[in-house]
Amino acid sequence: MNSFVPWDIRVTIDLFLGGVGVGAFLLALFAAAFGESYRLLRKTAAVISPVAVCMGLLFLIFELGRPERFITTLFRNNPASVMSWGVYLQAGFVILAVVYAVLVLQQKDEEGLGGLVKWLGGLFAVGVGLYHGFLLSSNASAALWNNGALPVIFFVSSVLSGIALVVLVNAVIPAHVTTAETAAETAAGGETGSAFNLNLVNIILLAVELLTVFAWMFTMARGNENMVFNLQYLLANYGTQWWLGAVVVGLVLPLVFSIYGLQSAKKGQVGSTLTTVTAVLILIGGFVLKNVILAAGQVNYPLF
Amino acid sequence: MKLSRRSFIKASVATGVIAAGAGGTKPMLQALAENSGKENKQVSEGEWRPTVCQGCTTWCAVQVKVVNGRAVKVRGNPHSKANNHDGKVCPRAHLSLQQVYDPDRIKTPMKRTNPKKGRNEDPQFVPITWDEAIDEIAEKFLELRKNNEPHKFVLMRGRYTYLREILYGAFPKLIGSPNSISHSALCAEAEKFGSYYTEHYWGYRDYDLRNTRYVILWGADPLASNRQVPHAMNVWGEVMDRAKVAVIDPRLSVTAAKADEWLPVIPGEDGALATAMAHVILTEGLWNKSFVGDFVDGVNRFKQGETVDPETFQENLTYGLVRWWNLELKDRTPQWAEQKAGIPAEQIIRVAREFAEAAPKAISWLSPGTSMQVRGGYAAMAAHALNGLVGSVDNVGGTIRSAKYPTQAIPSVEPFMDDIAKAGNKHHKVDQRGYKEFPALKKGKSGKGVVTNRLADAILDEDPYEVKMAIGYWNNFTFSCAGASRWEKALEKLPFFVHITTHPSEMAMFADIVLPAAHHLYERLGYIESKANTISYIAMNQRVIEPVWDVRIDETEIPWMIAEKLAEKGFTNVLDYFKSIKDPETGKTPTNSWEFSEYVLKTMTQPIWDPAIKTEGDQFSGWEEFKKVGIWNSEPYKFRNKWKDFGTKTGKFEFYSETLKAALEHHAEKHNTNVDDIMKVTKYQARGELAFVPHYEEPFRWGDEKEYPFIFVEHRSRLNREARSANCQWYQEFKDVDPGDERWDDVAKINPVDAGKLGLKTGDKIRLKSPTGEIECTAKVWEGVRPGTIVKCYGQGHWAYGRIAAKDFKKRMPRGGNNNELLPADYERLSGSTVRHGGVTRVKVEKL
Amino acid sequence: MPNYAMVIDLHKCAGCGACAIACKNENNVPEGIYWANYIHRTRGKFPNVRYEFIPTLCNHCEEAPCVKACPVGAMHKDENGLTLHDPSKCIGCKACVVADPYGVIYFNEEKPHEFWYDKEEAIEKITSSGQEMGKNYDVPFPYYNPDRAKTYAGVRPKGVVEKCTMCDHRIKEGKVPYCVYSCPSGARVFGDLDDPNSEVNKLLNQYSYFRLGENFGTKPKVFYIREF
Repeated sequence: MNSFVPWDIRVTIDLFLGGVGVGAFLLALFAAAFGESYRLLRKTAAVISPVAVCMGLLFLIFELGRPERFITTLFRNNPASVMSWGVYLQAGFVILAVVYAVLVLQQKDEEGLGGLVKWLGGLFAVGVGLYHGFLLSSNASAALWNNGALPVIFFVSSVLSGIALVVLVNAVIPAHVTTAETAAETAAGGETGSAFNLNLVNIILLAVELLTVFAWMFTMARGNENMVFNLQYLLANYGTQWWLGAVVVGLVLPLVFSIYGLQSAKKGQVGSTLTTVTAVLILIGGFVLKNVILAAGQVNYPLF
Repeated sequence: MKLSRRSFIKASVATGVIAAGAGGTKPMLQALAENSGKENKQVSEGEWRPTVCQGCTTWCAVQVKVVNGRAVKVRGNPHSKANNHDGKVCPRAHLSLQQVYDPDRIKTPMKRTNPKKGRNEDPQFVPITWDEAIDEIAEKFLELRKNNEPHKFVLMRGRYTYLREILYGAFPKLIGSPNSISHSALCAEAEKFGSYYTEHYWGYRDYDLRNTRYVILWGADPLASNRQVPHAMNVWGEVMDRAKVAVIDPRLSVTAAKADEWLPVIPGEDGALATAMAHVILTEGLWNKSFVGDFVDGVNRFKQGETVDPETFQENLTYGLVRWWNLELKDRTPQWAEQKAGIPAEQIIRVAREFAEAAPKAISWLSPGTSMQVRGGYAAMAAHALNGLVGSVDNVGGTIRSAKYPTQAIPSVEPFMDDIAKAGNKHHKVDQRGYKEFPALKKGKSGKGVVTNRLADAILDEDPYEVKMAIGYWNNFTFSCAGASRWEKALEKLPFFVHITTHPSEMAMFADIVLPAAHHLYERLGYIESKANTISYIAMNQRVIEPVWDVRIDETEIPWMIAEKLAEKGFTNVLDYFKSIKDPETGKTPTNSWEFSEYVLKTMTQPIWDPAIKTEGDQFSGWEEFKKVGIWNSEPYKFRNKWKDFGTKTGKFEFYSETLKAALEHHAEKHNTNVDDIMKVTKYQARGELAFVPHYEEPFRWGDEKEYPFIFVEHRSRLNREARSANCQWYQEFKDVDPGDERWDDVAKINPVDAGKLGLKTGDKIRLKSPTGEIECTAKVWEGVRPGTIVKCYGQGHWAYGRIAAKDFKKRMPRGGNNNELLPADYERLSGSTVRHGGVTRVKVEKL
Repeated sequence: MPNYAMVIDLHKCAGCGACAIACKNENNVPEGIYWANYIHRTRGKFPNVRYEFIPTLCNHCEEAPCVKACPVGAMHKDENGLTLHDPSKCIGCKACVVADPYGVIYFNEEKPHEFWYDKEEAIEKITSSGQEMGKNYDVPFPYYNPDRAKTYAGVRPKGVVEKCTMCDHRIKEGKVPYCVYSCPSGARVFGDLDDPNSEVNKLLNQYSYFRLGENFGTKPKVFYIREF
């Protein structure tokens, strides 16, 4: 059995931060539909987005055997290689995200260039978010990755993490805390009609993620030899991290807290302890999820 | 990496300067001279140069590819018709590249400055010149001779070529010592006992594998080790297509894994299987009638438990069949053998039947596994006797010998021995051979065989006398002898010890002077005789690269240097003798150590390369052509030549060995006693006439079952260059080619049932303890091991030798454990052989 | 254009590892990396034990996942059906290592052949060091094989991957790969799948065969016939 793991935690960090950047950008777009009161939220999100992706890329570059050759990926490409697509998708996305952030900060993001950048950026964000998953799922050699659930798991996790980081930053940096009114709106929604409800968004995303994860695990458990072997390997070697970190801390507890927060307008405000703690849990759990899947997925099943 | 065609002459000039100080080593390869000063940046294509690999005792003819003076690759010599067809060679040969260029090699002669000797003592070696070293050695010889005790010098021979005639043969005699002690008893002598006392052949057999229809392998593993590894691997696919293969071995070797039958015998019970198989063959009337003979009236009287009147049987080419039956075989049923050997009776019957039905193309292949046991002499005879029953001896598809090797001897040393030398040579050899309990009956003569491992006891007990000085070359008895700790004590006691070696081995750590040896594949002159595939061959070790360091050829250059020094100091006999060996082509007298080496080689091989001397086999136009080709092949074996007279006392293939009877009786007479007494002191159970026939003996084991629950089994590695390769990276990286073993580790293989009881899993660190020693290693749980046994490969557990072989060289920490520290120093005394098989010791396991 | 493949006859294979060692020699492969390797397995319970051994190497797949994964085209197929690597383009991202189901691609995490740069001596002034040996011969290490450099880096640098190239440098000169050459039992046969008269095709027509990881869709070209 070859248990050499070529992609280590630096790759996890790249995928995680990249995912945060994607999630943050999509949050910024989504919140734009709900009006000016979310301006602050959107600024945070728009700035975090390219910063997170670039930080992730830095880790990736230094994970390369030949970091100085990173730039060659721009002019040497391979149409079949998902990683090659990723080069252009991430490059495009970073540029668009930077432009969008500038526009948002200057409050020019609604019309003209802003509209174009918004749509293009959104497309690239989804592209990058899916790319992370496809990077893994395009490997027939990796039984845990080579299926349709994996890109969904990664994409949804990215969106969750992106939102969580934005919420966390907003909660932690006093200048960015929204007013009590907007906070209540952001959290509780309901009476204000089209207000953006963080808890509801989280509940939907967390539910989808939990379902997908369990569907994935079940399919692996009842799958072919390789799938069964790899899943057993994951549970044997990363069992605690997986159940405790990825599932309970990263998905179940946040779901419970979000449901509670939905019902209690005060507790469920952005900036409240509950939502901040939930955001931290999502971030921790999201990282552990990606790390475990990455590590356990690279173990080759004995071929003979 | 930039490649520059560095002029290799630069390096060789440097070594040449150092070499010139002690006698001048002439570069063998003039071609190198062409390169000096050239600006050519191209990569050289290189050249394949012939030499010999001595990684195991197959002794293959090989070629080395030399590029810019560097050895880059090894392959078989395509001119070989025996072993190395199409340039094939086994994995060991490749490892030699990492040996010759090993940074842990000794560069220069060195001298010990710490007078205390011991495993944990730092010898505090300092480099000295060849001249200083040889001078001190010469002085020691002169001192011994002055005191009329030159016999207190011992020459220990390890891995050799046939130029041993100089250092091992002539030199000690000229000094005045009878003590040329070889290592042969550490390996094959018990096996040769089996074939000698049946068909009068004291030697390794060859086998006509291409024609055989059945092969029984007694502990032999031809795909991994001795004695025709590349040939066996080459033909084994065909052999298995055409023949059935049965392997008798307590562990699942590779040959056993591929065989039709695996008989995982309880260690030491091989004699039960052999006698039972003979019983089956006789009771079922399956013996080869034309070879052995038959009942006069054709009625088979071999029935279990019933004696037979010898008069009713007319023997043809064998002798003593009925007496053998009466004395031993009549009660040796497969059912009885099943109880003893742990092999189902139906399998014993099936193998015996199918073996005999394939007669005469059926081989019973004996190896050290079945013979190197305390009571293994008779098991060896029994296993080999099966060949007699099927008539495969000296026959097509059977077990054969070699052709005549057309070499000639060097001149006699007699005329050059002075009175001191003559007197010294009269002493009894120091290894106690021929003592009452060490008959060492090589070739029928009491005390003719070496008892290598006894040398340690001889030194410690000063019995027969004190040993004051020793030279050992290419040996490492402190590692390779059972009861290794005795050797440490013996070497601590030995006042002056010179070791000629390539690496800082365990034995070197006890030396007073260490001399760096030329590597036998790359850096020396020599020749060997071997055989396979019905072809006998002679191949030449040649210097294919400039030596890496300031080394000398052990067997010829070093004695020359000593001789020169002795002559300077007034004792000229040795040098006079050496100078009498002239170049057969030019008649020139040797003027330096290299020329001497060359002339000895040329002289001994002259019948081969000299067109003026008529010989069979390959023909050469002269010395130069022979050097270029590197190997002489004989004509294919002439079968059935021995049938008219095997050479035994009766001239027949002896089931009742008159030959052995004569040898034992003579030995008994020498000690004023009888054969029964000899049997007693040599630890055999047989009494009376049983001593003259192959028979079953109960295994002799050290340790009682209660305290030491497991029988210890050891085996060889297909990567061992006789335990010298453990310092090679590739050895460690590929160690798991030995079934059940692990990379970069030294494991004791344990059956899952036993492991479960002990609470052990693979990877646990354990200690193995025998009544005489203990080692530490790693546990490996594996099914290819008989429950009740622990199986461990030999070759690791070095606490010196180099930085890979040892776990920590500076701290003397071994990697794994040396089996010889567990094994007691016991012997198959009739042959003098050391014992390492037959489950000679029991062990217990402790988890660390 | 030829489509090179290899057939390995497990009946002839003696499990000796000479192929794997010889490959290390031919291609100057560093410690810890294996271009040619093997898998062994032991099944059953004593005394009914079956030990099997199969030699492995890069399968030079027709649908090579490593080639598909490489973002810069360093891993590529050549016109002879071989999967080759260009160390001058390789960025060391290891996507190929991840994509490869056979585990035959290795990454040079450290500078290779560190043993030959090491200054340690077993016994000072008496024995040598890896570094001294390397310096004496002005090549990366004393038994360095320059033939490898004819078509590929003689020794690959830190930070790039490496794997079996089916000895493309030998094939160019009409020789067989060194593992094939060095196999003492003649178990390995190299040849062109597109040549109906080649030895490989004769064997594949004569015997039933299996390949490793057929379910991965790689269309590997190392075929195993008969049994160990």
